[in-house]
Amino acid sequence: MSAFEAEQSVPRFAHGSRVPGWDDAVDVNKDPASIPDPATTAVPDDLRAEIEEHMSRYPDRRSAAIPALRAAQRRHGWCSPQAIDQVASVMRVTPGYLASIATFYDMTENEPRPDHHDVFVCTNISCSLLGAPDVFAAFQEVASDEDRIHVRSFECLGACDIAPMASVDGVYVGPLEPRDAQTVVDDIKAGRPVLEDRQLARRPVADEEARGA
Amino acid sequence: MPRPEVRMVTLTIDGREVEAPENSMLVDGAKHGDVEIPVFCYEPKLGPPVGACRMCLVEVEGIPKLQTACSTPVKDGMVVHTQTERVRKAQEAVVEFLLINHPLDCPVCDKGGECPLQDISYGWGGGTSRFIEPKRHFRKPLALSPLVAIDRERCILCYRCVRYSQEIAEDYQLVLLERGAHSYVGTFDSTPYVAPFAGNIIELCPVGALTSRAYRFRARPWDIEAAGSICTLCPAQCNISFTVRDDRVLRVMARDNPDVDDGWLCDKGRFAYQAVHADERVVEPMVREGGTLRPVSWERALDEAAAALSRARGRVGALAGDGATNEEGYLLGRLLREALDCNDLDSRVARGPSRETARALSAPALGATVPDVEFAHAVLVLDCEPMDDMPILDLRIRKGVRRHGMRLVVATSRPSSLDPNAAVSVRFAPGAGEAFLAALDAALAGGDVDSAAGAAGADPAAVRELARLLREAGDDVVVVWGERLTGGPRGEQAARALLNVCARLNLRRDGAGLLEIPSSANGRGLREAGVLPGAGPGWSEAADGRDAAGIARALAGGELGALYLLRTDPVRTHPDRTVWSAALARANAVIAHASVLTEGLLEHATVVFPAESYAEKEGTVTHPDGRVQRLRPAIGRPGGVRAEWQVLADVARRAGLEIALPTGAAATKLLFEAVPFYAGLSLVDLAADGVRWPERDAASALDAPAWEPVELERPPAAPSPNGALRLGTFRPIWAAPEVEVSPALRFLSARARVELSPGDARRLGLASGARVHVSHDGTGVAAEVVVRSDVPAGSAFLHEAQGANALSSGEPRLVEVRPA
Repeated sequence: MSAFEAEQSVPRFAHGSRVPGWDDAVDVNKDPASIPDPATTAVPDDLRAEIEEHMSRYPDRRSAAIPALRAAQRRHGWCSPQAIDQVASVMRVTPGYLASIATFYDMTENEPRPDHHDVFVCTNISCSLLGAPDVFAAFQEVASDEDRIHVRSFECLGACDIAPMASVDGVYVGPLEPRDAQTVVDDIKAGRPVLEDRQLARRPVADEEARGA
Repeated sequence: MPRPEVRMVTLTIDGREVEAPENSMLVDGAKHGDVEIPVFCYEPKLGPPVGACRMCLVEVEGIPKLQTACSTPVKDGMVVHTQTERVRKAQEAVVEFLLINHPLDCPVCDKGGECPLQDISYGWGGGTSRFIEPKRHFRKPLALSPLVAIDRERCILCYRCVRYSQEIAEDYQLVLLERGAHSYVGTFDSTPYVAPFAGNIIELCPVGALTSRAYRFRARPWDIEAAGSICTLCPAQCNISFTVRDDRVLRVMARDNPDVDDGWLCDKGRFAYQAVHADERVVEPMVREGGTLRPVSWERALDEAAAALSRARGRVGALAGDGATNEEGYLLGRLLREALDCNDLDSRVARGPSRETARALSAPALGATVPDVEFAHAVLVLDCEPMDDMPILDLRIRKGVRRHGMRLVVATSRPSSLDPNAAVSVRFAPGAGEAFLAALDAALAGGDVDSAAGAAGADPAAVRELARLLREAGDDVVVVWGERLTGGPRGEQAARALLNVCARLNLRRDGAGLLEIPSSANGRGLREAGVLPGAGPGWSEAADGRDAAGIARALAGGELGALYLLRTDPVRTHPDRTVWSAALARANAVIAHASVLTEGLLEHATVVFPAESYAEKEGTVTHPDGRVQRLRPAIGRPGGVRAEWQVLADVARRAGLEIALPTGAAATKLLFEAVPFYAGLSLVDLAADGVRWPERDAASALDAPAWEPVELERPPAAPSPNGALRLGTFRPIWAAPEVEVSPALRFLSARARVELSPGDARRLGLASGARVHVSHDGTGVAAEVVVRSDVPAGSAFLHEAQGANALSSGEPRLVEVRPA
């Protein structure tokens, strides 16, 4: 068994694997990950209550996996093994089931990234037609030296009416021009509300009656 | 749900009219017309098709696009083409795509030569690729568990293994991580995929991505032969195929028999073949000289055994267990009864019900089959844990719930692994099965549930709910129950209560009935062969004798002088370990057939005959549902091992009983003649899938009249804990000598553990992992604490490993748990 577990690298091609995990063996000394027993897995009360609340909304409790993982992520900063264990214990599912979901979706973090800010730039059709590639390039450039600002392109964020747009820590802003990138980064660093005048939340609704109400 | 009716329809495949079952998938329907459609991801055993690999594209007239034959159901009048240019090009393109990143390392791949991807590339691939970029390369092989290696370069993402883990084993440990081209098969946080049925993914993998670490690089397909037989490591008696190279078993594969195992194996069945070639195996006859067992000649061993038995004539007891065949059981009965004038023999671990009641329980009309479990309206799992006692049945029960809407109800002392699938789970105090049945009987008959439920320590409302569910689910109810229910001093009463419940639910019908899980692998066969006190072959009347517990007491008290052990070691497997230790120590002679010297034999056996392994054996065994199955030798016997039927006949001859046995088949013939309901069976009939005797005409020989519900005695109340804990014991799947001596499985060997409820653990100041001393009346065992939130307060469940049977007995007990 020892030779088997020994570090082996495959030097034949430099490009190798770009996906974390592909090259990882399991640790055969660990216990298999079955459903964690509530008796031995401590879960903060408020997190438990929140997950149970999500579970109560669905006929199949497993449907609550995504909101439950998001709740744990808010608590732990990322979907750490401990966070996943806690969710699994409350939901009575295996951590493996949750890991497959956490690694599939974009908005679950599988690496610790303390105190970071997420800037998702929409690059789907409406935004692209209105110049999203340039906006995205501008964000990448101004944030290239910022460790704590994480910029990535995103498929449709569902806000075509303010295209091209971006989501900054969940706050939708748009329409954007390339030069707004610097302002956004400055606002984030200063801890100010981002592009306050162009936030979707502050945009008047089109329906005049509703606006009046 | 009852089995669906199958209607045959006619469709046209490649210009030929083919009759096929309606709504079967085209891939299967085409086989009725001898047309093969290539597949990777399709595996009907895994449930509904997923259409992931696109290999099975065919043209269906009236549908413009090509269709996946694995997920297109057969309809009347369909016209299908599998050989057109369009289909050929599509299939070639799929193969080309699958091979883009698949390495061409077939010459060093374990799957090479028996690989569906190879076969399909040859049969349906283009032979060339337009892809000139370098392929992806990863570190390989990697460990997925101590038993399975994973090679991610070779994986074609067909999802078979992941679907298996989620939909068959339902352990949800093996998952697909990441997404799209980044997807890979893995587990949570680098934990190993270790589960009782994990090994099946090796056989499911259509490429060389998942391989057995025990088999890797041991042989190529052209080096090996396959030999079909039966696994006799547990009562499930799965049909298996040994992979043999140079007279050594190198691998065990499933031999699909839908009436027995559905094509799955547990990891014990898949890897414990290593015990056949283990260094620890006994391969020479041995005799105790000067306190230690020493190898001797067969003549000497046989002479000593026969002399010791003859000296103790009239005072010999015998036990049989594990993988002893029907023939061996039959010969043991004759040796004891005819040659040695003894009636003290048993194949059960504790006293069972009387002969009459036991006959009523095994009446053919009341027997359920394994597929009945899947198609029943409701299944009651009663006082047993299928995962440990008869593992493959666990998968069948899950399948019934998942695919056929079967309603599962569980009534056990220890929390069951089937609880999450159950509509109702009822807990009763350990050993209170009789009281629970009395409560259920009352609930079904409209009587007083509360007092019996109180005696059982069960919730009366839950018992009523369970009874209501059994009544209302439908006509076909199967009760899966464990031998322990009717073991012990009150076995008779428990059996009567069970018969009452059967009568009230009207289980004497096809598709319903009882399925008993015996405590040893061939428990049913040994009983039918007459290894019982007071019952001869075929449950015939015989002079009464002592049961296992009685034999122990009589040996310890000096009333019996010798003990014959056919493939069993009571010190290890029977309750009351200390009594058995004393009994064996006191016995003048202990003659054993054994392949491993377990503790009782090591210390006390006076003569040891090397036992055959299941790969070397010939004979028959009887499945818990009455299916008589045939063992066939796959390899030669090592060293000085002789056929055990021959050893028994030789001992009998020396003790004065001549049984003419020129061959093993002659022993089978004698057995079939002696057991009335086996009459007319022949080894040829048993050749492939075995024969279920309760379905034959000869079964009328055991028919019992329908049971009329009787007035039940008031069951004794389960002891009240009062600060102590009720002791429940169970034997984990891994508690077997074969697991301990198989290098691949050793890491799973059962450890002494005690499961406590969180409340009791808190009260005693114990946490998971704490070392404790579990004791009763001065007898104690060391164990490690496992805190489980589903254990009912007031009970402690001890894993029967490492001498834990010192604490178990036929009766309910209270124990103290203290930090060690």
